[in-house]
Amino acid sequence: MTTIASPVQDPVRRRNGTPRRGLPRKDQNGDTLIEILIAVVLLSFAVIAVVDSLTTTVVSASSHRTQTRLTTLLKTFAEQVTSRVQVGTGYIVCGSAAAYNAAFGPSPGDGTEIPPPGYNGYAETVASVSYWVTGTAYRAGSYAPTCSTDTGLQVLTLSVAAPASAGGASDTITVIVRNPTWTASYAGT
Amino acid sequence: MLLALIFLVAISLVVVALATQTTNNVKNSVALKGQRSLEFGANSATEIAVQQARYEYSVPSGPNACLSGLPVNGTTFAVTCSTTYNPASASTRVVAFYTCSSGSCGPSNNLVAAQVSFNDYSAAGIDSCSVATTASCGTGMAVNSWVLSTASN
Repeated sequence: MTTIASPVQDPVRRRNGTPRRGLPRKDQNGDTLIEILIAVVLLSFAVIAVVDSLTTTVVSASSHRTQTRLTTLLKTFAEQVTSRVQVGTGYIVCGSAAAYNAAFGPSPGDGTEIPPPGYNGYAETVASVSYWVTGTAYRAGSYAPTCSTDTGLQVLTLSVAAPASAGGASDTITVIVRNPTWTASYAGT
Repeated sequence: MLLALIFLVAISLVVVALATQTTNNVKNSVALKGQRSLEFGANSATEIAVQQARYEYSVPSGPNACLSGLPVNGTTFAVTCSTTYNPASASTRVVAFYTCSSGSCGPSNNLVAAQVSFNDYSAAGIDSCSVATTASCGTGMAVNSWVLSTASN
């Protein structure tokens, strides 16, 4: 008597080929540990990149905000100085930096100056004054740190500084002002 | 694998966008600062030229160099002057100033274009402003126009 071997029964499928209910499909193999680790590492790189970019953007935005405020304040201050000089009330003959700072009043924030509100802690100063010196060649002028004879031209270095809470940055600009009421003539020219 | 690549590409785009925005901010800040310095420098150079022209006798002439090689705020400026002489007038000399930082300054190439009238008559009505004497040069002065056009330069 021969025995016919029955076909090998697939444990996860019925004889008609349909998957057995409640049993895993044959192609549902799980991920290996290596694959998961690689995925985690890739995700970590991505997250680090995004967080780092956001941090850099936030920090640079804060820095730019301070720089922009300094730029605005410095331009306002320079306009204020040149305007006062042009109308004849701002030029100080042989004036020192201290004299200009006293004349241009207190720092902004007290409501008496041109810079708009919100600039508390920012300081604007005339950092230094140089005096235009004319040479015998007349046009060959140069700057001098001390004033012997005021020739009607001064070089003002204006400075603004942010408070320490805003990074303490500063900015400077040079403006040359002309005394509109100066009446002397150049000797020997 | 495909999803991972898409994810990485998306993240890369976000990072690039943020970096681009930051770079643009820096460039804008630097450009604004440079523009401000250029404006005040050009005005300063013109002020010097005006002051110098006021108290000297300037021969009526076409464009000639009033000032050159003047460094202000990191930029070197030059000023070209063109003088018109009007004897027997309170606007004895009308001088056009053209300030630029490079090339040849003129009506079509300038950072500042200013026109200033100088009165060379003394209070006694005598014009003592000549090659021989500058006694009454620039006793009065009026700025007729002062045009800053750094945006186009």
